[in-house]
Amino acid sequence: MSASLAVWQSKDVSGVPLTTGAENGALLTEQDLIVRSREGDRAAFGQLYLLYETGIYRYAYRLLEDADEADDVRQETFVRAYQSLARFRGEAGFRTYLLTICANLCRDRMRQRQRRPVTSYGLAPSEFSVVSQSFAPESADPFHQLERADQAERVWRALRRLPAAPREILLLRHVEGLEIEEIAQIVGCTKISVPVRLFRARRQFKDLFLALLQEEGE
Amino acid sequence: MRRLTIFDSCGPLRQLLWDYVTGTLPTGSADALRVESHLARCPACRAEAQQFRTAASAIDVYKAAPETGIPPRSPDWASVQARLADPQKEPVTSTANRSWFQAMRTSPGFSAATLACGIGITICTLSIPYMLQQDALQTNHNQLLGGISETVTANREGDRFIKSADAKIDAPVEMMVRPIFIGSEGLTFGEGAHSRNTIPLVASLINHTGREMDVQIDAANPSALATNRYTRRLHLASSEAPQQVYLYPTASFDYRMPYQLQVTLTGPFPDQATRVGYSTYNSGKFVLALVGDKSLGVLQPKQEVITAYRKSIQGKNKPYINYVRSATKPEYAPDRVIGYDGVDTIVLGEGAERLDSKQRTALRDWVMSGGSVIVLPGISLDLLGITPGTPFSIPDPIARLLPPETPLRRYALGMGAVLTVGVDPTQPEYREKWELSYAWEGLRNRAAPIMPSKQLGFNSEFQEQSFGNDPFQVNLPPLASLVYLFAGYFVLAVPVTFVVLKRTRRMNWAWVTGPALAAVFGGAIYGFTAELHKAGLSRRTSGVIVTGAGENKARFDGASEIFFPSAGSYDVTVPGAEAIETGMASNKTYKYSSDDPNRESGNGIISRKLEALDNGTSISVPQMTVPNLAFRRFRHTQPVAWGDGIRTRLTRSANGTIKGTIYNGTGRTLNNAYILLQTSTTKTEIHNKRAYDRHFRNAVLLSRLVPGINRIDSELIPLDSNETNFRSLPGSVSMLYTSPVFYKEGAVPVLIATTSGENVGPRIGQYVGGADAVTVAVTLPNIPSATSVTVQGGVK
Repeated sequence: MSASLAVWQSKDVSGVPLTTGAENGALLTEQDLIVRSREGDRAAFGQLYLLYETGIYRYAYRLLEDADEADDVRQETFVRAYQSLARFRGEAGFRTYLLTICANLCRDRMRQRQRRPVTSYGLAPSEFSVVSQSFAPESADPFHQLERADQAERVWRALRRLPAAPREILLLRHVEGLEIEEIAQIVGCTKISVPVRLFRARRQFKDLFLALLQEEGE
Repeated sequence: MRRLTIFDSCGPLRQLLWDYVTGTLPTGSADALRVESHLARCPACRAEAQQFRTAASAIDVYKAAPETGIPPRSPDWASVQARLADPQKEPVTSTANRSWFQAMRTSPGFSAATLACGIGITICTLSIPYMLQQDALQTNHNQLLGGISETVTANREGDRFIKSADAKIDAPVEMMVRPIFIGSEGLTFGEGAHSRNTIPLVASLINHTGREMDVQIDAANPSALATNRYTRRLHLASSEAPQQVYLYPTASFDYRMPYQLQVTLTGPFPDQATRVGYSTYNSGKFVLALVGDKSLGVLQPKQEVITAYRKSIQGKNKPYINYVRSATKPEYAPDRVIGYDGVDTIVLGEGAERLDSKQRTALRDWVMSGGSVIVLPGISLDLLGITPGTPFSIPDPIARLLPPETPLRRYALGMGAVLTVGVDPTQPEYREKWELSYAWEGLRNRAAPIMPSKQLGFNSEFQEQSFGNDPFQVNLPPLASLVYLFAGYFVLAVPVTFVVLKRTRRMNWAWVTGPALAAVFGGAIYGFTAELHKAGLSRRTSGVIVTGAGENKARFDGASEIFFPSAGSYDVTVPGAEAIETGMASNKTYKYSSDDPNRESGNGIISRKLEALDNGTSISVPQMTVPNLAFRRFRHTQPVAWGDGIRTRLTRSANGTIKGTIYNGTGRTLNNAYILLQTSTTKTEIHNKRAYDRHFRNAVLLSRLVPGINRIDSELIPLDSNETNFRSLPGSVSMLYTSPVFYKEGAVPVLIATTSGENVGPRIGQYVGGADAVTVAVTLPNIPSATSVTVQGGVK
């Protein structure tokens, strides 16, 4: 009795139950979690949440550049994902499914933002608060680490200068690592037009990035 | 040129450059080979490939450090879970993804500003008297006792009143109250003018206390639905003899409840109460009342008598009796005209000569204003002050009962009529005759007044005319437009402002836009009542003045409206008034009461609680407490000083013109004057309310009658049968009804005019009713034909 209770009640700091009635303590695959979630097991969905929330939040932030909004989008993404889980047939991965929802939400937000232009007060977060926490595991050299962090930071700044559409496609391809088909699904265009868009996005990014490098060099 | 071409041809291959430099293109594939060969040839693409390589490797670095530039956020599973548990729940938001309504709710500046201007608008709305029409005519009963100076230390011991410790008096003041007119079935009262119900009472008081004192008598229906309270104060002498006082409570009869009237005597002793009046005859029936010692006899003969009669006439002319009988002793006959308000015909019988001068005057004034009197043998016409010489004889239609040698004589007296009868039907030998009922019916038909006082219906009073700064002409917006205004504010103005402020990120400007909006909307609402705010204490009076030619007294019956600009307690007195009653008015004419929570409403009629204090010579509404911008309305009736009255010397020529002089001794200017000529009818109409109609067929237009002598030379205009031009005549004349005239001699010309209501209403505020608010109706002597006839071009 007490043992089973312990299993039910064991939660991590975020309040998500680690296991939910997992038989014999066997590890549950993502597919199992999805099936259980679809059957209404919110705890299983909580596991999925834990798996993907950071990625979704980051993706949203990269597009929206607003932590609160990204946070909202994360919440909304998972709520909608849960509600329309029945429609998720597993053709694409669960991450793609979440990203599709998230991208749509972000696009909605940006559209709203266009109607109500945001005037930001003070400094953008990246310009003052971000101290890269990146420590590449393969290199113990602090200088190397610092250099990489600078480089990542530079990329982010270039990305921020990129308009939303190319930024989105670039992120999906090179940061999220999605295939052309998946990108077409998320962005909502034909498969054929993705490479062209991608090419333009890459080119724009490259120009911006090189311009940043040049600025720093001066 | 060449360079450009090369550049162009680079296009398709450049799309592959990134994949090539990152090794995504499979080595040795056709694409990879094409790129390689192109790069070997094209330095521009080589350079770009190098740039792509740099960028791609940088992105790889970025990908390896995905948290770069992103403020950390811990997972918030709880919020997601909460929303999954309750799909209806609103998103747990940080700042974004809120509907404008949600955002507005949580925007304190905007909410506060909106609330502020909402309150402002509400206050402005309250300036409209819709909501302010609270009933304010409730006078504190105890306050009335403040006027009684006598103070006697008293307490109650059992049911006895103890004046002092050692003296026990069974009844310090005895009061007996009786209705003036009592029928066989109890208190009888009929419907007066415009449905007014006056229940005349006589109270006899005997003061056993041995000291004089002020007392107060209240008459009111104890029911909560009742609307009127009547108060009479008097000074009781220390005499042991009965002291008689008349009470004329005017009550709005309510068919929803049995009628009761509770009369309370209040003095420096415990209250005494008595109840009178349990059955009523306010059924639209005709009230025939005897003033005399005898009774009217059995008006409803025994059933076998009726059956025998019906057999004898074989069902033809089925008798239809639609009247009730009533009687009073001459000692109790009313001393004011209002006492006869519910009576249709008075029969003066044996003992009527005992009427004192005050009672005689009241009776005569009543006839003058449209009463009807049948005088039985033995009673002198001097009692009514009728000067002989104007009667005409009517053949006796009920010869079976009355001897044919005693013709009926009819005398015109103002708007009313007096009929003398040669035989007294109250004598015992007629009592059991079936004809008795019909005899009375026939007699009262022949005594029909010209214009019955009961039928002075004039719903067209307060005709909408503008008289300058007149609060009564302010058109308040209908309630619906206020609703639209509020809807416009809350549904349109507030959200639009919010959206605009939100988009422009100027939410704190709500402290400017809010009051500005309030000013605009509130100003619009205030604008509706601005005229009312400007107006001062004002009143208007409208109604009818009726009398006969040569009379120095007239009778007014109508209504007054008072506008009170500011709240307070006002004493409203109508000089000479005999009755004040609640402001009975139709919804249409009393536009301000539509939302009055205290109105008594039925069939579109509004009345209001009213306390009438009878001072003997006037009636007042003491301490009428009103809110700001209040309208109050009440009906009143009273005699009107009429100067030397109206005298005429008119003749009618053969060609239909009326010539002569009219002397206007009333001291008033009479506008829109004209003379209506009655026509006789042969219709055997029964004299009841349904028979009253407009029996005018010709008119003479006179225009204005200034005080003094007015020369007349006007043509007779026929009034068309459908009365369209009759209705277009000015004043309330179209609402005046007359009785059918059976005999040519009974047709009486009536002078109609309009005049100001300034001197007939309450003396309060400024009169704004205009110069044509009151309709004057004066019966004239018959207009004889000219004695000399001019024959044109010939010899006489």
